[in-house]
Amino acid sequence: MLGKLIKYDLKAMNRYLIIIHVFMLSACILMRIFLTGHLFTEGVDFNNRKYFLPLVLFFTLFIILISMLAFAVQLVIAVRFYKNLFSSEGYLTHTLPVTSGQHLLAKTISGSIWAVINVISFHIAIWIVAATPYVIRSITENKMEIMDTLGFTGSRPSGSFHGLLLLYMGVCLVGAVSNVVLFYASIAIGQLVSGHKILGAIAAYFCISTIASVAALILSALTGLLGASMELSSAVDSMKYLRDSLIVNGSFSFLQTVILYPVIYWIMKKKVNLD
Amino acid sequence: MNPIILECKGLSKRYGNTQCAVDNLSLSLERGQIVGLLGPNGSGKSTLIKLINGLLTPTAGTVLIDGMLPGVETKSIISYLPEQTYLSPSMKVKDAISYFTDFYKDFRPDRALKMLKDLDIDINARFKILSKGAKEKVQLILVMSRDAMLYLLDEPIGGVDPAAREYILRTILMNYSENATILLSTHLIQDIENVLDRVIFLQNGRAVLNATVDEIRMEQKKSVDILFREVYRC
Repeated sequence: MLGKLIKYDLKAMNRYLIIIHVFMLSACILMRIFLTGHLFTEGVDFNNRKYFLPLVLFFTLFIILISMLAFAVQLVIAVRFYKNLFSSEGYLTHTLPVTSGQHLLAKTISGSIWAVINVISFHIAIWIVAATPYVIRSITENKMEIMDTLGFTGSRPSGSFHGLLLLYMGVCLVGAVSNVVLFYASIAIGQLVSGHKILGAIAAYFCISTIASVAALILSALTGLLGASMELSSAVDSMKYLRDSLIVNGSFSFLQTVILYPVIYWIMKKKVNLD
Repeated sequence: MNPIILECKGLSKRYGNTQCAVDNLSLSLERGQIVGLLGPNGSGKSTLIKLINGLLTPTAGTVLIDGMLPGVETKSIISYLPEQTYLSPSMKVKDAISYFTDFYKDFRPDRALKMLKDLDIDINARFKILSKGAKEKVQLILVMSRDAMLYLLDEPIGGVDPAAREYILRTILMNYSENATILLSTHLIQDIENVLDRVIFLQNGRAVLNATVDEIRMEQKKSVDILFREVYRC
């Protein structure tokens, strides 16, 4: 049954999410052809106003576009969860011979699959836009120097580059799943507010996010990360700081998921009220 | 086999602190009957059906289906037709058949396809282009194409024209086994009186009458429709 639930969830979301990702990648290809392909080339003086302004404009546009599309992806995942479980579609979903746990697991897996695809697409998008032949050549030619400066090689290596990369990928995956669970938890808690379920879900989202931010700040202070950010003096320190931040971030996302998942399960099992 | 298919014990459902949709309701239904759940709007019919389906959590009391609390086992033996359209507008009719085939072991796709063909409903049509009446017919066909033990039909004839009503009632009668029980809610008594074995009158969430149609006719010398009008006179 779990496989069937996932199949139908993916089928319902695929249409919108494929369109969003095709749009995102197409926009990036166009940016690369018409913008970065011309900007990131040999002999460009980035201090020159002629290049500086388009660069700032481009990065602003790029960040806005990527953020909007990432938000759209999360919205599609959240709307699917809400519509399928708590709107009129819920009358069918909740009367299937399937446990609440299976419903939640299916939604979490299908939502996470797309959240992870989104993270991967985001990195591919950056690659398409930024990795012009000139940038690639510059990195390849100066690879040893860069690795040495960042402390991955040399006399006092502070850690492995591949280790950091693996850690970064792991944290991205945990973060993607954690975000999905955060949206689901907000919607599930919103269902407890009879008559104002969507408003309740939005309020729950802001409450959880605020609590999570405060908790993350406290955790950063406890682990010494908050003070450390003020004292970074070299690239090696920055990499060490980045590694520690990733560990704290990943752990925090994991903890948030572990706390919220049972809450959603409990609401779905004990507090379903389709008015 | 347990002769009682549905049992409610002191069942209550409150919305907020004051509004009581179902109030300390106790009743039991045997297998092999068509039961009319009758009452005016707001009498608690839909709430009771949702409680039986596990779509609402009771404030107090219990509901047992074939001796079990609402759960996976009970959902596999209940076939439910809600008042609302519950199929996604982007879904095609044939997708809905695949969906039911995937999730319900007792679903008979051949029966559903035959009924859809009888009604000239295109299985490649999406729900968003079907008329309200056609949507209701498709949902009823899906629900009645299951070999369930308990059919819960919430206002199956509420929003359709008289010709469609006749078809719906015929579909219900032709597609349930003798051991199955049908509980259908409506306030259109005249149309369904002849198919009912038993009626339950609900008022303010309480059962004010639970009797067979024959008992009403023999003892009270009235039709169910006339009795209904007397009980619920404004």
